[in-house]
Amino acid sequence: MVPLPSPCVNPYGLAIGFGLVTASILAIASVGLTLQFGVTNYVNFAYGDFMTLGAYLAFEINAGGHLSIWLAMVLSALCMGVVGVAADRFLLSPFTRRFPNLFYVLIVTFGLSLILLNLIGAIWTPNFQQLPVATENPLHLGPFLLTPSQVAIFGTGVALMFGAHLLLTRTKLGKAMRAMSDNTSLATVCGIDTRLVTSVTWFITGALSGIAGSVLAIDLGTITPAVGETFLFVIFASVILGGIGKPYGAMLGALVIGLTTELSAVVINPAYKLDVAFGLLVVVLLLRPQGIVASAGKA
Amino acid sequence: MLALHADRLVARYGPVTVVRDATVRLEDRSLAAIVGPNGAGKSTFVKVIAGVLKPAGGRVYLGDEELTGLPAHRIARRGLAYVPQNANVFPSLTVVENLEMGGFTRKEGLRPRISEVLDIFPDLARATKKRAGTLSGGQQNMLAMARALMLDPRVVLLDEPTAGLSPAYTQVVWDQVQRVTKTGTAVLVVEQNVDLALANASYVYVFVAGTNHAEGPSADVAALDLAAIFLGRAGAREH
Repeated sequence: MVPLPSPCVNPYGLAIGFGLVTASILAIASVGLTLQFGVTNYVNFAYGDFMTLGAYLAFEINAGGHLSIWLAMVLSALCMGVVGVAADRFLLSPFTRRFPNLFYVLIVTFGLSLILLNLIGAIWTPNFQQLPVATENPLHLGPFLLTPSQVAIFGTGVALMFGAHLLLTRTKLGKAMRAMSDNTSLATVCGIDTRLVTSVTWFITGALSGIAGSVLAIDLGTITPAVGETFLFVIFASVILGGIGKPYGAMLGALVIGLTTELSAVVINPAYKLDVAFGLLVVVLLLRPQGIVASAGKA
Repeated sequence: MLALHADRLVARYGPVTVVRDATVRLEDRSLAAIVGPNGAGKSTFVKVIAGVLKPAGGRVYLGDEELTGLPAHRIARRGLAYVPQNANVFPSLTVVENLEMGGFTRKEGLRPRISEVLDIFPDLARATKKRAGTLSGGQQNMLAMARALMLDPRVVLLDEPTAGLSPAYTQVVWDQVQRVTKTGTAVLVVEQNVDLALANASYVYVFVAGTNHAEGPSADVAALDLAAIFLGRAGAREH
């Protein structure tokens, strides 16, 4: 829901505000996707559909359970954490053990994406659905004009990124995830139960996908079975921009993509926002193929 | 007392048998080396002991406890540490974080143990906040050894710790290996440089074509015609 600007609002300030909201959603999703890649070493093409499922679950819990959408989002995230662990334990891990070629795993995640897309369409219909989000008056916050929901989305993004930072730098689990991202075999001979760490990673990243999908739907005000899949390509752009497998790179990539796309909408037709994101990605890859954040190891 | 007994191990890569009936016995607090020509199966042998590769035959004991077929992380927790030849540190983690990963399963005493290990490797104590990927090759090998000591292992397996290092630095690494044995840990080193192995280890195993060809105290093995053995000109097996 994009609030109408008042005539006195600076369009660039307005765009930066929207850019920060978009970056928050992107950062939540991108950190999840890049952590999955860092620990498992394969790209999950079903991640966008995980987001969509998380969004539908949140609104189902919201409508059916008469809970606030934010509490419903938390419950949906927990459900998506379990879905993530199940996808890893019962589909992807057994498959990678039998067929270590990562290309095959890529195809499996693509297949999982199609299954989830159609399953969601079958359960909730393939049509646009208007979400029961109350109409909100935008707030003037310095140069920004944001709805309370958008402020909450920004706060959620910042809190989760701070949480991800603490997890990766202050906890044994987070350091083990970074260690596995560098070298899984070496992590194993250090005594780390890499299967357990992988499962916990899938829970965390599954939960992040649920939250990302929910806040995306709250921001858009509508939902369709393809909403996450469409957003997946922007997520890829921010992950690649920051350097694949690097959570801090993903955060930075999300910020750059979020701000650039919204600022571009001030000077060119907003319909080209995605084109700007991918144009930026191409330029960065030409100049710095390893991504913005370059360091040894993935995480 | 026997710290490690790898008994008649067999290892295969697909249909190819790389290690056949190879045996090593390592006493507590001792320093032994495995030497042999390229392709003798030395590295594969220690990978099987460490649980990185599944054995196709044979048994592994750490003291009285059988480790055969256990996953690598459980073997490490039981007191057998392994330092691979390549990629033996976590490059994006700092020196201290690498040591923390080495002590991942310690329930208590992690910080004091890090201090003890850094006392053994003073070079690392000056670089605790550096990312491991920025260290020199020799320092990375030191860090890998230090990391392996974090769980107070009974046995450490080192796979070619001097590979790729300058000649001046190789003896420094071996001096550190000697210091490790003085802490009470038995060490089994795979070494490509025969002279270094004979000069530093007390007992040496010679592997050829995936199995034991000769073994004995360093002085006895030094008396053998190792060049002939390595070049395949040796006749009967010598023990």
